[in-house]
Amino acid sequence: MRSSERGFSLVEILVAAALFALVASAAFATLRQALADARRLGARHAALGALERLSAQLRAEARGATAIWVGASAGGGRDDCDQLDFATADAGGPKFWSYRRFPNHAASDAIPADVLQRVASTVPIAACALADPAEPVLREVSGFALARFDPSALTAHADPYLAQPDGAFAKTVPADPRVPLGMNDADGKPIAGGNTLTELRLDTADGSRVVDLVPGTFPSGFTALLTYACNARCQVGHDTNAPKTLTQCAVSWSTDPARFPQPVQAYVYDAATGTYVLTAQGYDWAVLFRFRYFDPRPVPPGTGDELSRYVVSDTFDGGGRPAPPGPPFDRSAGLPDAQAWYAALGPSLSPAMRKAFDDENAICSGVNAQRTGAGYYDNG
Amino acid sequence: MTTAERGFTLLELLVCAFLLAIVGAATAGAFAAVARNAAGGETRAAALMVAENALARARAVSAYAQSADPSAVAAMATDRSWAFVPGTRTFGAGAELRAPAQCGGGVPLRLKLPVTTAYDAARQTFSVTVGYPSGPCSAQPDRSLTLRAVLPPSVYAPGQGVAVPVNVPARM
Repeated sequence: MRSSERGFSLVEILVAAALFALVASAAFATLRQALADARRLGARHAALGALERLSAQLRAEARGATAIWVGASAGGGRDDCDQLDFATADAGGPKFWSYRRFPNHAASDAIPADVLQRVASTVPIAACALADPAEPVLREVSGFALARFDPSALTAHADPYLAQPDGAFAKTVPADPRVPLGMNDADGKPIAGGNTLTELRLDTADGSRVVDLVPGTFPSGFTALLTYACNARCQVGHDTNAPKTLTQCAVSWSTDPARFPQPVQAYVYDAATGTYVLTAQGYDWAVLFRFRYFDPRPVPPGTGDELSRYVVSDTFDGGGRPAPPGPPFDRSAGLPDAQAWYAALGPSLSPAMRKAFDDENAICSGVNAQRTGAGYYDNG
Repeated sequence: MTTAERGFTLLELLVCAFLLAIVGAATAGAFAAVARNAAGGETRAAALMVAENALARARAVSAYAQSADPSAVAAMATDRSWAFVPGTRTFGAGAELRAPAQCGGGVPLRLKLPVTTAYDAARQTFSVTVGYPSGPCSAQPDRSLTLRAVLPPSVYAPGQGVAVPVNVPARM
């Protein structure tokens, strides 16, 4: 029998089987490793994709925002959070949205520390309010750091990774106040900062991103923020950040020394003689009129002193204008009605002084005449 | 015995094994290339992040500024070169890759990417070029990307508020 027809011996079969087993096991291990790597790579790409999408979403949202600001910075408190706030306003009204992370929460909490969530509302969003309906937008977050840079600080801006200056292209930018945007935040503070850069650093196990955000309104946007040119009822507020309707006004007068550049001297009623006595020589005195305006929002309504405006009268030195005609009022018996005071002594005031009083008094009278009967808006 | 019954010769088996080895090597190489490209995409994404951030800061720089001279406001509004250093500027920007297994290390890989910016006053164009390595394990940039943005004159003069007074609603 020729060798080619002989077949394999048992030893040959065993050796071949052993070699096959070795090669197969090695191939299987390699294949298993390759599959595991592929799974890891896929998961990592998915995580990086989520990070990239969020970064892109933040930039897109910044283009539509009129204000971006750091709403809260976490301290050591359990429910402290880092919160990035956005706001805009259009014909549909104001819109607010926030991104926040609670870094001190445990993994077992309802909102774990590694979750970045997004909150949206048509009213200002309070900082770190746990009850807000929120949408988790990114998980496995290990870092969410926020920083604000006014324009004048951009030349000295430092790269967040290298801590080296990276504002070489910017000239020295003049100090620039933050622009008021006509809206209040949840604490009632005016929102400003449309010209401010907000920088966030977002870290996950798979990636790290730094996103610099500037509201799209500046400088190439064409969104105009409208402020109301108020009539008398809200003009008195002089608060374009939060226009409001005021419904009550009261005017009083006093001789508050703190309001005058020089000591105030006034007439005092002398009960013994039944006459008014000037406390010092001459007619050197002045009066402070206080117009107090109220709005309907405080509880109970009308109790909040929303605004006080002061009109200070002339000081009469006795050498220029004539002395006040008629009997002066008795301060020791209490302050008389300011309107009566003005009716009696107003003609002795200078024209400028009288105009200042008359202008403010017209506003005050208008507010009282309208009250709430004609309807009003709580907040423009 | 016919040839068909004879079985394979050793030479045939060796040739077959050789061909299989070549195919296997090519497949493994393809896998490696895919992994390299994926990692290279990360460095490019990092470079893109750096460039976009530079553009954002450029917008912020030129958005607003005050001018003590009212007559200069109009000029500042139409020509934004006041906000930028003329010519090109270079600086380094950081990025962090978090792929510990990629380069055999257990810590994030920090890159320093070269950045060049330039402002073209005539075209009101700000450009930023960022160099980056094609592979994540190399610190040497061998590729670059460039972003350009037109910084047009603002409708709002620098230093001016953006508030536009309008008549109050009748019920106000």
